[in-house]
Amino acid sequence: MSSLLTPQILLELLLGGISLGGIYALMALALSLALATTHILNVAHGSFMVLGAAASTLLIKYLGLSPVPSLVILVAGFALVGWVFELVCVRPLQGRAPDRILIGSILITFGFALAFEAGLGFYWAKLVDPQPTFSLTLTMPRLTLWGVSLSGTRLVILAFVCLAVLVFHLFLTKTPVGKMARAIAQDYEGALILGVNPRLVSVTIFTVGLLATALSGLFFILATPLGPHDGLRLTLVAMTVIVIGGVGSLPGALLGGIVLGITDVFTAFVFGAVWSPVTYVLVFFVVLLVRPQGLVGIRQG
Amino acid sequence: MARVPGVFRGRRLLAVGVVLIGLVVLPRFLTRDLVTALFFAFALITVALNYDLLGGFLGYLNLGQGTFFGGGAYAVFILTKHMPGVAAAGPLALIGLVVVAVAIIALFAAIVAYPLFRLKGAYFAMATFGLFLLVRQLILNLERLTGGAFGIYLPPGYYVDQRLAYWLMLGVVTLSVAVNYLISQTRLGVGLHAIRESEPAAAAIGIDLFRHKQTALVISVIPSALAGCLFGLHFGYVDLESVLGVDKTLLPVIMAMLGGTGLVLGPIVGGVLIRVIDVSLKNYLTLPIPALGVYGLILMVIGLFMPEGILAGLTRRRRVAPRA
Amino acid sequence: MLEVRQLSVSYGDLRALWDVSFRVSAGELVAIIGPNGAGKTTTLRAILGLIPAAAGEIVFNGRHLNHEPSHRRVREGIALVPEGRRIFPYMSVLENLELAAHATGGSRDLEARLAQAFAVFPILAERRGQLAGTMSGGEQQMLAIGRALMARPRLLMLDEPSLGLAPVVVDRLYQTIRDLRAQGLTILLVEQYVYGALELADRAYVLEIGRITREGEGQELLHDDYVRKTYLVV
Ligand SMILES: Nc1ncnc2c1ncn2[C@@H]1O[C@H](COP(=O)(O)OP(=O)(O)O)[C@@H](O)[C@H]1O
Ligand SMILES: [Mg+2]
Repeated sequence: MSSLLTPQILLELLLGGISLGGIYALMALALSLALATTHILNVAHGSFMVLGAAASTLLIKYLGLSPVPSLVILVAGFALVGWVFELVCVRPLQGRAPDRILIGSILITFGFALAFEAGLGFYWAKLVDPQPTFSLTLTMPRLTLWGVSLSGTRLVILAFVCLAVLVFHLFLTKTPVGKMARAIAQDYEGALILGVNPRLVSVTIFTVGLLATALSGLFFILATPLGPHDGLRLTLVAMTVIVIGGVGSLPGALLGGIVLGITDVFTAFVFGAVWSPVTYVLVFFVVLLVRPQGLVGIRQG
Repeated sequence: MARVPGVFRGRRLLAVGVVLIGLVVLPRFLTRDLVTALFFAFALITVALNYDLLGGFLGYLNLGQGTFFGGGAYAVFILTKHMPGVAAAGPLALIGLVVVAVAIIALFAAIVAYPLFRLKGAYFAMATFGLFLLVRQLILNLERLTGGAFGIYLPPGYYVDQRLAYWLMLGVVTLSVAVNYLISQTRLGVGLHAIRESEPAAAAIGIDLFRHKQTALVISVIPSALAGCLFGLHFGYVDLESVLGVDKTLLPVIMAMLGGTGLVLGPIVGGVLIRVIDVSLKNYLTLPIPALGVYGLILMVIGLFMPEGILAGLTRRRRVAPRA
Repeated sequence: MLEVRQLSVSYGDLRALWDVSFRVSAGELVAIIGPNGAGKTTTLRAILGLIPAAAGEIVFNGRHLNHEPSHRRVREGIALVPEGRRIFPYMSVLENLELAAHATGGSRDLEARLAQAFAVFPILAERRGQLAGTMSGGEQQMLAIGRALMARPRLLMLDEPSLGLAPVVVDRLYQTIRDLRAQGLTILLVEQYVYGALELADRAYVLEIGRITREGEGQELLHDDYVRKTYLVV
């Protein structure tokens, strides 16, 4: 125990855990939607969060752009990257037999993640900073509620998560493409019979999902820095969230993310930050042993 | 299993014998660097062959085979470091420690089989990679036991000399080939094949799915752990990058995939190719990105253009699975 | 309107269809009958491109469809009411219907399409908010047909619509099919309920173990000795 757990610290930890977990949930939701609609496991998913972190650090910290134009550039850029990624790494797999799709997708996206990480780490060290870390600081006043003061940055992160989850929810339930995505996730051939274009769904889900993931990278590093080699670890975190919460389930993703986020901050508080990464894999295995179908149960639309 | 060439029959047996004898006497004619390069290649091909027991025969993608390689190396070094008296007692005692280390890894595999085989497909693959990252992090954190980021160095007295290490590693890789071949000829192999084709069908004819998978995993980790022990003992030290680097767990997968999974020869062909690429990358080319990035690109190319590997592409044995 | 020539389809090593040829002209109601496992569903799946044709041609309104993906074939005007209905149980009735319109580019005249479907099946309008999975089998079949109509098809293919329904419900269903046909819709009806299908059909084909073994006018086949012996006298 490094210090005493006062109510103030407890609340800070909870807020930190929930905002961190919210980001995990968002990232996991994007990953599991892609998995449910295309049967493609994007091992490079976490790398897009790293991409978001790196790109925003570069624009805001090193090139000194102000936040609003940066955000516009980043959103456009991330959407473009997601679209190209779908075209190059996902599209060629369509039409292969299902078991081949899985192996192919792991090879391609794992390969992409490795090449991306190696390239990013190498060139960042060479051109920008020999010790690559991606982080941003937001000068926000602390907010005092009911006598406890809360980190403004954490609240900004939480607000972003809530907004993004809401947008995701509206996208899935209100837009034509969102409805088609849900249909294809529930019954692939049943959706094809209705004339759903799986390519349209695939490209939309990847573009929107990777955009959301990259943006969540920006908000993530307001609180916790990332390095070029964190991508695969983050993908693993997203998969853990899916194992806890089920594939394609929004409430499940939120629950899974928050469980992990809170475990993370409390582990770090009690045992030290080096033990946080261990807890993710342990939670993953424990959930598998206790409830292989996940905590929330199997998929729903 | 028609898929496995009858390597050990008739003329082929002769050919295998000739190749083996050739490899045994080869170090006489090579520089030390080349012998080390071969030693290294044998180690990785061993892990690739072991990987293929699950990846090819069973159809379960194990991205964490390197865990058992590095785990074996660390196990024997930890034993040696914390029981210096035993290790100093002579070569026999050292062999004893290696046996204990391999047994520990086999037991570890038997235990992690329980959570791992609750999973299939992509989740299984990622969980095995997660296990690999977990072991890395544990070794980093448990400094007193493992030396943390610094690693463990043994006094030169324990080093296995180069020729001997070469021969022993040749033995381990030969053992791995034999294991894969023999398993393909036994009931276990038939069971694995049945599981690969369809788990419900395999279960329906009375195959114990979990036992088969667990057995395959345990068998697959033994040569990997042995190779890891030998690898560490030859170089005299272990640290995270030398025996548990991400390349140690990914290169074997790439080798098996490139050559063709489910074929005894696949990982060997892929392994030789990758080693040639690797050596030429490191020695003759200056790269615009680090080697791991190049491997990433190779993986992408395999996935995009030759998902069944070189040998399968040549023999065209596989039939296209029907859409469910 | 639809012409299938020498169609062959395989599932892996298993051949399911051998040189199947038939045609459906505009305004016709054509039935394909045959026992379980004959390849009826496979034929419809191949027409829609859900499974590739190993050989043969599928021509719709003069266009070769073999290399078109499924969603284009649906847009060309082929709608399928699949075996087992395959509605989306966790979506509402309305969402199921809307989905079919969105998928075929009908978001703009959604209301008109809905009105049309509701005119055929008024009960769907009553149940619009209900989760589709909680409806009875007959209602689900109506939803499946209504959903197919949302695509404004030129050819409606029905795969064993009577399966698992009570006789009175089947009667009503067949009345609806008769009405749709009277409105000029071209229909390809696949059935094991041989009597009903042949009575309704202008022409019919018998499919057995992946091959067309007989063809003729509906009434003609209804009195054919072989057909009577094999499919009707039970
Ligand atoms: N997905 C599939 N995989 C393998 N074989 C199949 C598949 N679907 C159908 N079959 C086989 O194809 C043949 C025709 O099936 P089907 O078209 O469903 O017949 P029907 O609709 O006339 O009952 C059957 O022998 C069936 O076993
Ligand atoms: Mg059928």
